[in-house]
This record gives sequence, C-alpha cells and structure tokens, in this order.
Amino acid sequence: MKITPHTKTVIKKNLPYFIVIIPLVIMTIFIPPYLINRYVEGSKKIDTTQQELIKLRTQVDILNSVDSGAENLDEDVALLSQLIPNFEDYFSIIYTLDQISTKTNFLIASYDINLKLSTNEKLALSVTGVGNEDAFLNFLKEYNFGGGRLITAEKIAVASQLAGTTIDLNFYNKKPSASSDPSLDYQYSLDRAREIKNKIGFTLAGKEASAEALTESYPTKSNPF
Amino acid sequence: MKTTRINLLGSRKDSEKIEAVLLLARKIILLYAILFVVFVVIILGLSFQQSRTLQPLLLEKASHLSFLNSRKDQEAKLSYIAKKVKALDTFILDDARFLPYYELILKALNVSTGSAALSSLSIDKERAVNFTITYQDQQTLLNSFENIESPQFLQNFEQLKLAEFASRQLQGGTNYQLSFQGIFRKSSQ
Repeated sequence: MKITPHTKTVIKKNLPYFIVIIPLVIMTIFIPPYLINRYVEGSKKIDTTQQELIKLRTQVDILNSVDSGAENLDEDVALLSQLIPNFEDYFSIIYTLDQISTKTNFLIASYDINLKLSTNEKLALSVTGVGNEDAFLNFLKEYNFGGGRLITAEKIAVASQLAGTTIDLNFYNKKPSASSDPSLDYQYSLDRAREIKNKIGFTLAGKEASAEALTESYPTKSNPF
Repeated sequence: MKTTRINLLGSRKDSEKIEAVLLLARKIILLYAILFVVFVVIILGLSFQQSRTLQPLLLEKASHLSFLNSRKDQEAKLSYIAKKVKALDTFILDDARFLPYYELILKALNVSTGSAALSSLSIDKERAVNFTITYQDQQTLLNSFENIESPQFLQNFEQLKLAEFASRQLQGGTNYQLSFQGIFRKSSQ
C-alpha cells in the first residue's frame, strides 16, 4: 500500500501521543496503587503510634506523679510480702499467733487446721484463746494485721465467759500474676500500704527487702546429731 | 497508461472525520497524562505531610520508652504492691469486722437499756448478728423494751427481731433473757 504524504503527516502528528499512552497505562496499573497503599499504611502507623503514645504518656505520668522513694517502695514490698506471702509458710503462722498473744495478752493456747474450709489461697484455722475481757478486746483490735500476717475471721461469737474462746481465723497467701492489669491504682495502693504500716508500726529494721522477702529455703541437717 | 482516479470530494470528507477522531484522542491522552501527574504530585505531597507528622510522634515514643526502661525496677515494685493490695482488699471482705459492731452494740445497749449484761454476741461477715441480753430484774427489762424499740437503737440495724424471750428462776431472783437476730447497717468504720 502506498503511504500518501497526507498519511505521513497524520502519523507524524499523532505518533508521539500513541507512544506515550502505552507507558502511561503501565504506570497507571502500578504507581497509583503503590502510592495509595503507602499512604494508607502511613495513616495506620500514625494511628497506632498515637494510641501507643496515649498509653505510654499515662504510664509516664503515673510514675512521675506517684509519691514513692526507693526505700519506701522496698518497705511496702516487704510489708505486703509478709502480710500475704507468695506461698503459705506455716512457721510464720505460728510466729504470728505468738506475736498476737504477746501483744494482746489473749493467750492462744491451741489451734487446729480446718482443711475443709481451706483453699489454695486461704488456710483456715480454729484457734482457742484464753484471756479476760480487755485482752479479748485487744485481740479484736489487733488480729487483722498485728501479728504480721493478714488474718480475717468470717464469724466471731463471744459469750460473757471468755475462758476457752474458739475463733475461726483465715490466713492468706497469693503470688501476684505476671500479666499487666490496667485497673491497678498505684497511688491508692501506696496510700493503703502506708496506712497499714502506720497501724502496725512496721519498719524494715535493717532487713534487705525484696519481692521475695520471706524465703522458703532454710538450712536443714541430714544428721540430727 | 495507468490512471489514478482521485475523488477529491469523497476523500476530503473521510479525512475530516479521521482528523476529528485523532484530535479527540490526542486531547484525551493529554488530559489523562495531566491528571496522572497531578494525582501523583498530590499523593506524594500527602505522604510527605504524613512523614512530617509521624517523625515527632516516633521521637516522643522513643523518649517515653527510654524513660520507662530506666524506671523498670520501680514500676515492677509498684505493680507488685498494687496487686498485693488488690488481693488484700479482696481478702479483707471475708472479715466480720466484729469490733466496731461490738462497740456499737455496747454503746447502744448502755444508752438504751441502762443496766443490762450482754450474755452472748455473734457477728459474721454478712453483718448478721445474734445477741442475748440478760436482765436481773423485771423493771429493767420493761424499761429496756421501750429503748430497744427506739429509733436511736434501731437505726443501727437493717433488720432486727426478737428471737427468744426466756425467764429463769434463780436463787437470788428471776433472770430474764432477750435474744435477738438481725442484720447491722454497714458501718463506715
């Protein structure tokens, strides 16, 4: 077919456009989706970072606002580890009952462990105490924290004759979980610890405090002689 | 001799049509290219703006993480203390809180009944109470009924009822006992 001069002119005039359209279409397939995706990812990253910052700012504010010296924290850790040890320690129960007897003059003569009412976190004891009315009132004031362990009594019954009064007491142990708990109020917890500390006159007294203040490992002898 | 026939009129009309179509095509391609470039410029501008927004946020995040890392020990202790206090507050709910209610009832009895002796008293963690008052004479007993029914005494209880009334003849005289069952109002102490 013979190409006329007119056809040549038409081709010359339009060819650049038709050459450009091909790469333009290819770029349209790849470049805008990539740029849009990059923009969307960037928006998501900004949102995520802002959410993380809200949490981080709260944590930083809490740590800055909490009125806590390093020594006070160690004392609070030691106190609470003593009140509620991570694992049950029977020797500390005996010590606690002895402390209460000494403090209040309400002599705890005997105790029985009630396994039926005990759980993993609670050891139920029935204690029999002897003392006059004043001693018993002192016992009622002191038994919750005064012995060094947290003690509760679900029911107390007294008669006018206080000789041989039997009371059911509960001792507690609990190991804090490793998971974070957003509902924890640090300032309230410190205030509560200090309230108890003041009530029982607790001090570290030279003891090195740590989260494991009460150790379960003590030296044993294989040969008793 | 070969002759070339030219129909000038017919081919002119066809050329004009083709020219018009090609002109439209050129305009569309040009517009498409312009729109493409504008779109890319806008998107790149927005991405640049995004990175300007993100940079200070990432710097702040790094700063906070560094601070928290330096106070890891303190935070661990605070968390430990808070969890122990939470457990303590839960366990203490198992306590009957005997003393404030005991003192309350002694005070109320002194006010209400004058001379009377509290023979027995039991309180549990649900604030359920059972108590027995012993009277040495009938007059004190009769006086006490009025006082026990007074708002001043009853305000301490959510509910209170007389469970038992007993009298015993003793060597010295007659001994009267009133036994009550009820539930204390929650004390703020």
